[in-house]
Amino acid sequence: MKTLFQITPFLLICVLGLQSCTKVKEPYYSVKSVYADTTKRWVLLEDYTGHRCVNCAPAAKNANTIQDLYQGQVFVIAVHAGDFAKPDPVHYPPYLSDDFRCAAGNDWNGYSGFNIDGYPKGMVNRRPYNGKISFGTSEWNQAIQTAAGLPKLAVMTIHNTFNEQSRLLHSRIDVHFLASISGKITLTVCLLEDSIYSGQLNNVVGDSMPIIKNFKFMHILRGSLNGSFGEEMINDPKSGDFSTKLYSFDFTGKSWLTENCSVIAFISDAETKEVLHVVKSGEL
Amino acid sequence: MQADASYYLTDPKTGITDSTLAGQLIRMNAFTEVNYSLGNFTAGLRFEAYLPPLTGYDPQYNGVGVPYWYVNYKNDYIDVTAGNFYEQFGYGMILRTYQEWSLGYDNSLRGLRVKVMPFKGMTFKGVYGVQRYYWEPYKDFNRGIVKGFDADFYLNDIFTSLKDAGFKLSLGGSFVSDYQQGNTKDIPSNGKILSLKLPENVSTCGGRFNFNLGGFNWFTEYAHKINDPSALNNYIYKNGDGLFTNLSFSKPGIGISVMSKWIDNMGYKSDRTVTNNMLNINYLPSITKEHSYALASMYPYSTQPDGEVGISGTVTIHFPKKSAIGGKNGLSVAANFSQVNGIKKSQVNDTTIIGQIGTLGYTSSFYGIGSEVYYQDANIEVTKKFGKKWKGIFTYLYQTYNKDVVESHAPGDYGTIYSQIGIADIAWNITKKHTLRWEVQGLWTKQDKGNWVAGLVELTISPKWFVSLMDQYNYGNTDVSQRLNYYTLSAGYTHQSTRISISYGRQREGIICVGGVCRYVPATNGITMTITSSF
Repeated sequence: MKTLFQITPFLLICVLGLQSCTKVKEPYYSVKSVYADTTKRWVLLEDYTGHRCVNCAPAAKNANTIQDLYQGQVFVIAVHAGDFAKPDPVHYPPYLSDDFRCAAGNDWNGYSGFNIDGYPKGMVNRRPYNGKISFGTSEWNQAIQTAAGLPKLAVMTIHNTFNEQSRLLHSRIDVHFLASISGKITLTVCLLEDSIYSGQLNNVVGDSMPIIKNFKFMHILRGSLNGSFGEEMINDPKSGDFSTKLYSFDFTGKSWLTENCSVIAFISDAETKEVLHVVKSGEL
Repeated sequence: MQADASYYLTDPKTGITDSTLAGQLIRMNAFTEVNYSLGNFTAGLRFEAYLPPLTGYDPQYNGVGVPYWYVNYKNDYIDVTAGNFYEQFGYGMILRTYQEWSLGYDNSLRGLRVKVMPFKGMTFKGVYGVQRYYWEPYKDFNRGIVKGFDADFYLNDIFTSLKDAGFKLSLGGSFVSDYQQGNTKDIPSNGKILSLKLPENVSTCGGRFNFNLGGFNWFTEYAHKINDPSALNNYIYKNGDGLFTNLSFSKPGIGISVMSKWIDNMGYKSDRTVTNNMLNINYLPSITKEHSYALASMYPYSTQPDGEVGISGTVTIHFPKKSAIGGKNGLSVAANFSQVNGIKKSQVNDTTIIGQIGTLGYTSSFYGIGSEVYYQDANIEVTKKFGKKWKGIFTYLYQTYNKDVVESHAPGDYGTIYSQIGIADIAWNITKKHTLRWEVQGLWTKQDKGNWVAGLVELTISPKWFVSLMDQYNYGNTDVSQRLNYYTLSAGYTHQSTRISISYGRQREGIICVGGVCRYVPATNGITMTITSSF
């Protein structure tokens, strides 16, 4: 009896422990589509990155995952800028020779209001989250969830016409405001390129180290069609206001694969730079 | 306490530039651990500082704090710990929490541990807690809650009739469960969003025995894990299995050990999304030999939790003085062989590829050996004294290293490296206090970075001083610009239980492994100071 008393607590734990199993039966998943909620705001995720940044590969993958998850409501721009994005033909030749930097990316990276002081860092609609305008990957998900829950302020559409012979792109951006907004609104229109395979340094276990030789770079910012911080579109728009802008871009002399290029446009508060809505076209 | 501080220098030849150092020229990892006992009570804490972490350590360690503290009460019947603790059930295939400073590895549990010893030879343990994750506090189920119990029976103590038996036998059994909140997870796959059903409670159980008879000892442990879809196994639902067995024999002058392991989908973490070394609940044993010489440890093996099967054997023979082989001063020979392959995996059905997300993943048969060799190491070490003042250790190794698998590269990125290594280590006791030691090493391979040669000269003035100079030269690199010397000048001073060492030099990039758990080490150049002390 004494023996039983002495080991009873453990027999009890054993019995409780055996309840601690969850056996999952087939089917192990259901297919789910996440379609954009038409009443909610669309979100821009800027991933500040560089091919010499050893922690940036997982951040880029995280950005892709988030964009996939929020199909049609979140759009990523990979901004290659700063020291970590400089080409390095000396080490691991030729994997780090590409230069994905552009003027717009350099300007954004250097803009003190964005506080890009380390890589990888991201901004979500250029609005503060937890008191910071830019932050690490661990906070992206939560910040996007917050931003994607805000009401939609505008409907934006992009109409592209691309002539393969002249390599000329015409892009028309229409903005239909759904709410009244005070202040000056700017429109920024940028070009992105997907699916470039090149070298990416990596120091994160789970992938090739120290370099991923054929890393798939997505959403690479190639430049802005209307200046790094866009141009003024409208002042104090009221609900129901409509505005349109037309831009052209000549791909002549560019080695970019146009079939992998797309146009992304976003409206922002000119003063705070907060992105109020964003839209991305299909590939050209 | 221990403090490791480095001052880093740029070194364009190894890719270290101002931008890679990012202005953080001085870095330090340090800890101080204090333990105090009073009667049956013991309390302790460990203060850690990573300001910022040394290169090669996870930057998420950046910070200072007290990640480890505990209060313990212990008598003959019960042993209770509140706070952080390190625990191991059997060999650890179900649960092992430990700290390895050189790897930046710490998976301690914070919670409660109770050990009860109701009778001589009988020990029960229960643990309940959450694991350390860098500096991130536990809140809102941000990682799993681990609970487990273990029973250990030493039959020779329990049954008086076995007290004087010629053999010794102990049996043990364990059960561990991890609760992680969230029974679904959305994962993009092939253009679809899969909403995976997840088990919130993942459990493992297992048993073990240790049998000893004369010079023989046989230890075996088996573990089984239920479905545990995670980032580590690409969210497949197959059960996991693991077996480790070690049969050894020893008598004066000879020792023989044979080990084998079978690991099938046995990665087990308290956060299913984590893929690095953090939050491991269990430990998968390593059977390959850990080498300490610089070139012999260039290609170490890292345990593959997704699946591996291996065998290793070691024979150590000492030929005594004045025997035919031992000669005047005796001779020791240690031969070791180990090989690890992947396990044989088969498709679940014709339409499911092996390892496909959201499926059973694959099927496997017990001890089904895959054709792909992950690692092989055949080595022999001869130790010989030449008179009273000279001693030599001569080692030859042949290693096969599947770099793609071991270092998680894409298949075909680097392939398999076949290397031969020869080492001569000579020590000359000049006087009772002065010892001079030389190492000459060579590594020959046609793959990876090609051939290396290394040399070391070390003077020890017992018991306080040492100074050494080492160089590793990658003379066979096909990239001529990378035929570099990796030189290190070191000196150290020991006073009572305090040791201070300082070194200057260039460190080659590579991987260091302890017990099959590995850490990537980037190339560095600079000055490093280490202070260790106990008081």
